Amino acid sequence: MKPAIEIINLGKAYKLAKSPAYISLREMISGSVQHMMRPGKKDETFMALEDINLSIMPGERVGIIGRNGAGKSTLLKIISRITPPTTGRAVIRGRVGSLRIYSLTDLYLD
Amino acid sequence: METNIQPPGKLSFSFREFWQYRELFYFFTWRDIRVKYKQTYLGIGWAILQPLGMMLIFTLLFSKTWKIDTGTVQYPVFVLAGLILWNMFNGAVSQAGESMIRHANIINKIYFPRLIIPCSAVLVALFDFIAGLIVFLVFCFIYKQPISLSAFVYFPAAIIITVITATGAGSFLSALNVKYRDFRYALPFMLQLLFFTSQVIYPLGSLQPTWIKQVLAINPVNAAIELFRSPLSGVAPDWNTVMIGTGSMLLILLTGLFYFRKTESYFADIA
Repeated sequence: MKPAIEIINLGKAYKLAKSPAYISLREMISGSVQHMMRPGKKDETFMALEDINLSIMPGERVGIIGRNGAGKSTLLKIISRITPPTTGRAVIRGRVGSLRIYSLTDLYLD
Repeated sequence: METNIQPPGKLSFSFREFWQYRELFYFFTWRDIRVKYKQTYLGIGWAILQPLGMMLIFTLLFSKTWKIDTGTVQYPVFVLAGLILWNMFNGAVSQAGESMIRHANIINKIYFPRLIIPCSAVLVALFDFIAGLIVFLVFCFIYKQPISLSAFVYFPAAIIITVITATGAGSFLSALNVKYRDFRYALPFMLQLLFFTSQVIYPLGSLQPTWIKQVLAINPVNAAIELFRSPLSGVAPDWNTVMIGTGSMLLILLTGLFYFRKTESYFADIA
């Protein structure tokens, strides 16, 4: 029998921006000008996941435990195809339910 | 069902996947149509009242005061023909442009081809257009406006040009909007500008000198309105305008889909 979830050398890199994610067009333009003045200075990348290998057989129950920032959610996000991996690949045989990260505000809205 | 998850490729546009998710597409559209006029007294009447109100204002301003020459077509019919097409374009682009941000929550939780979101916004606008079209036909009857048989070709052609342009521009802007929220504020302004470059309140043919017609023809809405009005006036559409408009329509569609496709996989990381 083939595993239901198979993960091979999976990795996910995030670019660390100095400014928040909601950068404005103005910042982007000024940033690209600065970039031209000082070439060679690259964005810092952060590997949220690196070389993850695992396979889960049908019927198995697996929990993922880790400290803050260990990459648990990132792994689940990749398995549920919400965000793509940077390296490696994963094979899903079957269907994946929705990802639900509960926060207090979510519970309020529901 | 086996799914392969890999780093995003360069240019893999999957129409098959889009087709697989057609049910979700249908429900997104149906939900938006239903929600749009919920809790309103007039309901779908708003889709009819808006173009009618604008028609009234433009008729008072431009037919009585400025006396714009529209040939054999009476001004209210002339302006309404342009307005219903423009309203579809305007509604589709502004709704599609906002759509990715509005759906940020669902994007962060489940997978589906993201293109469904702006496309369903365009379809909602098409639904409003059909309501407007019925009113337009009623007005044609009231003003005893003859419609030539060429309408069976030109009307659908005009609608297709508007829908394709709106899909291209809408998906492009929705993708841009995720990263640069500036477009949220720029969009209404850009659409306002575009309105005056579209031949809604005036006929493109009345403009002098000729080169300005060529420049304005880049706006595909002009081609659509040109085709739409031809069966009313009985004058053949200006093929120059139609060709330029169709060309830029294709360019807009390809640019929009390409950019959307390129940025789509990272929406969840920043939305």
